[in-house]
Amino acid sequence: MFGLWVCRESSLISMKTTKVDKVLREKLGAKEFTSMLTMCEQCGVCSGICPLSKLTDFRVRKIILRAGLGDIEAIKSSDLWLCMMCYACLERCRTGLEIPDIISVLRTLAIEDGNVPDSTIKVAQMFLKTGHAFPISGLTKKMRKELGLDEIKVDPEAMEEVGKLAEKTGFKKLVEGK
Amino acid sequence: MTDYAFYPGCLISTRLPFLEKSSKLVLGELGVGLTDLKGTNCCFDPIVLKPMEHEVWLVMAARTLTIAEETGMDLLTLCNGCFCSLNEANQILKNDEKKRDGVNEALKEVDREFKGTMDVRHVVQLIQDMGQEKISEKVKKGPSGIKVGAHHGCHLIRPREFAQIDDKRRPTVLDDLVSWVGAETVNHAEDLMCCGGGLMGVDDKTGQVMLNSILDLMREEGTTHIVTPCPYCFVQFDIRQKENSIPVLYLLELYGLAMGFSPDEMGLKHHRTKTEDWGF
Repeated sequence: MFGLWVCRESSLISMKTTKVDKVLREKLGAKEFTSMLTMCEQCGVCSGICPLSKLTDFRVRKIILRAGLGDIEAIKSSDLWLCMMCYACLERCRTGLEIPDIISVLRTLAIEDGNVPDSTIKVAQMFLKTGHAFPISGLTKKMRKELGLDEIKVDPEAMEEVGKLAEKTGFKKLVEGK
Repeated sequence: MTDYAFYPGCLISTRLPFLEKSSKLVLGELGVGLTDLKGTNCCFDPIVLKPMEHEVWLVMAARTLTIAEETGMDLLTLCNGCFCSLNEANQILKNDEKKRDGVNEALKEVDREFKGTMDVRHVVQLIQDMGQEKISEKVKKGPSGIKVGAHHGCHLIRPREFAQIDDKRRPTVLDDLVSWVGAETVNHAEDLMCCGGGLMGVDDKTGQVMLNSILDLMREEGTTHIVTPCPYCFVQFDIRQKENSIPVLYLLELYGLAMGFSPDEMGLKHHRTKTEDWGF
């Protein structure tokens, strides 16, 4: 179990800085991808293959450890937003943990807690406004015309549906006011 | 030849329409019929939107899938991100009854239902299925003296469980497709790694370092052109090279040049990395 590792290996997380949050732990235990968290053996293959490990202090292994413990830092840290979802760790995890999906669950909880980068919220707001992740700019229109491609517009009927689904799924509430 | 419901992806249709243009020219030449899909939404990309909330991703992706289902054709995309997001959602919803029921419950709100009647295809798979012979027939002039750094992009090949594009331990599908038009590719240690594009906006500096490390390895191998089937990687390589830029081509632009389309008609002037010599 995690506890042994935490005590034994000083390179892991110091117990002093671990703030176990019971509510977070329960929430994670109840979710599809995170219910398996304590199966992690902390072998570190995920961090070994992660392209961020070479360049930053970001360690997938530590995120998974913190999440397994229910350490509140798992959703408070800005590191959570560095993962680029390249799925390299997913292909290597010998325990078969769906690591990117675990990080996604943590991100949802982090957003609810107010920890989300502006750039992420901007993309979400663009989606809610236009149904797409990128704006249809004047340059877009000019370039498409010049290339002989159809004009593209924000589709009001599509937006009505997207709006209803954003409401129904709680996405609007998740993003609003962030 | 089969016709497809065409979903280029919003990055291509808004910021990189010249990739849409060259792809349409090439696919037309290969006899592929395309019907533009109307009223779709963003696939819920695998880097920013999908990881915000998984259930929202499934519902939003399913909405677009239902629009493609109405056409009776498979969906064809030009984008790794769209392929990853829509293909995974399509497979999950086809196979997981509980999730399908949940998504359809939400879709009732907009009078839609996911039926699971079609497949999501990346243009790379389409070309793979056509085979080398068919492509070689269409090549009017091969490249001369170019060495291609083939950058697959993460979401073409991973997760393997869903992508199922190349089952080799170290995929080479892109190198193969590049070689079909007579171009040589280089090998380097990071050719299956992330371009750093997903970090832009969150940590630009690290994203740039990541890109530079791939570029350094490519330069060491004498790369003259970068080729990718991913519009996100294309943007990262095309607009964020600082000096000694290596020209960048989307896979179907390379095919277009080989099939004899001119840089002008494909809109290659819109690339930021300028060159007089596309190698053809």
